[in-house]
Amino acid sequence: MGVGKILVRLELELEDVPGQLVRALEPISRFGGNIKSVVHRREKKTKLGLVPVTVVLEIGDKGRFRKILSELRTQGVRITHVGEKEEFSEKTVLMAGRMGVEDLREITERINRTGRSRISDMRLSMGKEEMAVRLRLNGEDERTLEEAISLLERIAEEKGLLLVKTVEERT
Amino acid sequence: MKIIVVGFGNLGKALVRILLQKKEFLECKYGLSPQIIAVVDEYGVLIREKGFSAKELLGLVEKGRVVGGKRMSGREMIREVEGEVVFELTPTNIETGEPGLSHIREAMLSGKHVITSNKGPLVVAFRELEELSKKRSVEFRYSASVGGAIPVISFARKLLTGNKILAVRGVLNGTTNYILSRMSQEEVPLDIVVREAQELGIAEKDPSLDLEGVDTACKITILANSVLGKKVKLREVKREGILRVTPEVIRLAHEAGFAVKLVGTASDRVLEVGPRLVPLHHPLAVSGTLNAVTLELDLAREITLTGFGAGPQETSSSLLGDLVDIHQSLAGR
Repeated sequence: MGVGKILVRLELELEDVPGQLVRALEPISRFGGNIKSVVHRREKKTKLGLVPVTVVLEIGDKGRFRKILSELRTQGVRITHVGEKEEFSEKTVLMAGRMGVEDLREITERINRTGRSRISDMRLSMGKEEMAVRLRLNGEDERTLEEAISLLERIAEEKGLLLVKTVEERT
Repeated sequence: MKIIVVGFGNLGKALVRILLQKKEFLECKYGLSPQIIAVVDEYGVLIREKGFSAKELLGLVEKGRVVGGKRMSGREMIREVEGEVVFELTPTNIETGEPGLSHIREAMLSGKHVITSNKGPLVVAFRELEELSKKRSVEFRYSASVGGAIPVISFARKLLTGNKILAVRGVLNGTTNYILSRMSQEEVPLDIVVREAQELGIAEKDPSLDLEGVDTACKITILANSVLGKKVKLREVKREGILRVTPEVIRLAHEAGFAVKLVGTASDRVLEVGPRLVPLHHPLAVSGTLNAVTLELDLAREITLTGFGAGPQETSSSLLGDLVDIHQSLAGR
């Protein structure tokens, strides 16, 4: 995590036609934004028939972020919400045990569903019978990350998995 | 100062050797002349009211056990012999605390100061023993029960004069730390490294108390009670050992700049033991059989002590520290 970087959550509404999502994401990359996650909710179309999309991105400064917003508006993308936070928190955890792709999907969805934390990176390592996965969690602040870790603890318990948290920091 | 040694295993022998070795130093520096007047082990009790000679003590250490002593129980001996300080060094039993618990009670009731390395009585009856020692106006020290050579408990007590201790966390078990370090170096499964540790004498024949995190949980219980002033029981510690840590876990951790360590934590909010990701340059990222303990304080922020967490000679250093401490406390009374 870079200090002073801005983490932004953008709520967009796109037309349900091919290529819309790629076009909306293009200015973000062009102006140096790092896309952390994209949630495309086709099943939750708005009354106008638009598809709500949540994009979380990291960007170095506000100037470039303003350029992204203006470019999106020029393209006719409807921006319904801009949530920005200058500093955000990050934590790494590991999970291990007997699990499959479905479990990973469930873990990701349950964390992302909280809306305040998300899994921004996932690395796997396969053993003979067991799998280990490293997750990078991002949250608005330490408290939201603690909530996410509590959720992971519950998931680990439900699924009989080992959860290895990062050593506690100064309280 | 007349000393009674209860328990004559590796630690008891190392203590006797060190008291002989440091005789002049203790005399010159502190005016302290420890005189061993009784030794007890499972085979019997040897008593010399006027103190054993150095030759007798060395003979005892060489034989490795009490030979030709009286058949009497440790409790009887503690009650009957006119000693001032009892070193309670019998093996740990975390279920009942015995026989150490009875030895310590008996010593306190008969007005003797107590120094112990035994986690059992501390885990089972910490508050009772602390209160009994106050009631009987005897000193009670147990630095060697946590961290081996690291004098974390006595150090914390000194810090408490000006600081509030908010949390304690540490790598408190040398065996599991050795195993995790070797798994990281060799990328091999836990069972192979456990066998290696057993061959080297680092892990016990039955290492389950270490591997399941019970030993660390005992130490966290003792630290929570003694350093943070809590009233917690061993069963309240949320515990996960290292049995489910695989080479894949260690590899993924390492790739992201972390070591996996078995960490115990006690604070107002947390009382737990489990494998944790520790950044490679973090003060708790110690390797091999080393231990490390971090005290989190309101003024001094954080202080970490690192050192050898086990071994008879290393642990004797904490026992000796406690003896000097008692000597000085008595002088200041």
